Amino acid sequence: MFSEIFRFEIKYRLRKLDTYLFFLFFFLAITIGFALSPPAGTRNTFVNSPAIIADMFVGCTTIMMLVSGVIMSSSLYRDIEFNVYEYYLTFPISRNGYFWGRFLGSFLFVAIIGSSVIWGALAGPFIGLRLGWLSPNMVAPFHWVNLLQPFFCYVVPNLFLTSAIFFGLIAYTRNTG
Amino acid sequence: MQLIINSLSKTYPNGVRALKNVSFVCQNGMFGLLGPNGAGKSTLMRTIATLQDADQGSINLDGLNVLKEKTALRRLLGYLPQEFGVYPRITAEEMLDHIARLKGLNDAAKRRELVATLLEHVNLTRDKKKRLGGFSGGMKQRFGIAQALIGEPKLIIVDEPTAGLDPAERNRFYNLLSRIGENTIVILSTHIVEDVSTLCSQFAIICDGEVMYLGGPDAAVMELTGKIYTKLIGGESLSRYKERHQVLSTHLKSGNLYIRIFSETAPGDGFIPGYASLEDVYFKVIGGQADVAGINS
Repeated sequence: MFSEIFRFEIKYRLRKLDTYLFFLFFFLAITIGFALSPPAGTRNTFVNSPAIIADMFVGCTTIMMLVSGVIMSSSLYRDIEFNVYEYYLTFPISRNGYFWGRFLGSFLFVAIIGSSVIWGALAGPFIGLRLGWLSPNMVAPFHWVNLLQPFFCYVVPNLFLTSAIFFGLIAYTRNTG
Repeated sequence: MQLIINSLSKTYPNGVRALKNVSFVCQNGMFGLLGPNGAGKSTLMRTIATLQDADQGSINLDGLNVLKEKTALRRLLGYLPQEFGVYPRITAEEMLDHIARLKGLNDAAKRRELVATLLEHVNLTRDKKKRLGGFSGGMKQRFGIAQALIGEPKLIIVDEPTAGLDPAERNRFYNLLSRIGENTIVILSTHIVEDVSTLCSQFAIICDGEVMYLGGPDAAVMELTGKIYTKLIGGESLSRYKERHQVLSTHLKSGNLYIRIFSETAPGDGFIPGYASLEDVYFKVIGGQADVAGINS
């Protein structure tokens, strides 16, 4: 039950253009952020130092809150918006399967869009060096942990929190019984 | 199979009494529900389909308490609501496959076969790869019919299923439904009285939330045989006839106004005997409750 609803949610999400646009937007924003030379006064730090990466990631999640709102609320509201609940809710689906299938299927995409910051932080310094916007002494040696740690410690928990709030709001206020 | 509905009542928070002590029994075969708009048909069907609760009464399908064991009933149910929508970005084939999985058909080969058969039955094979968002009203309705038939339901509830279908599609659907109806309970609500007389072995007329009539269409027509009279009244005032006779309905034929009345004995007054039809039964039953065919205006 859960797996089918989860699977279908992924399929549906992949058909929506905004999924790709959100990803692209954050990927480009972060890439540019890391590719440009930092403002004067901070030039004695690496552009991609762990602290700066973490700062950028956290900053991004505040804007991504909007993304989690759009994606999470549409996952349940879709049934009302398109008037599908009139028959969908007569299928032998369990409350838990429906709720968690939709929630996790959608949250997966919020997290994937969230991961755009990792790819941006990888691509940014590389492009900056290539285009001569950054000098080699401004770029720190690459370590996965510098990207993954802030992603799992800040981005995922922050997005999970806002996703749960938006999903819960829709589930609570639009409950048809 | 046997569906027993016992003194079902429902009052909405705004005070509308949608169902008043509704009771009837359905066996395998097609059961028709007739009634004017707002009579409570949809409330009754939604309640049987586990979408809403009743205030009182019980529904029992072969020993299954429908109002309590909702998931068990849903495994046996095929439901086509009166108004429904679709996910616009999914194709008909994908959506039917999804529903088949939800209904527990786990064997991929069987599921593919079932979806293909259903698409064929509702004449959507050609459009199976089209997204549902691009479907016309009639195509959407046919998709709705297909989804209701997934998983060999034992109880099929269809609410105004032929709305938006052209006559050929309507016939096709009714043939399909009557074939299925041989070993399934099919509850069909419709405005089209003729459909009930051709398809249903039993029917009920519902008005203002009450069952006003319950029986077989043939027997119902038989009761009125020889008691229906008709007359061309032209430009004469209808109210004059209303005072003297029980006027059932008015019809325009080639621009002329005919009236049909019910009378135990020959009324004279220029009336000639007419063939009784189920429509006469319908108007006679609800005549006391509703202003039929604008007779009072």
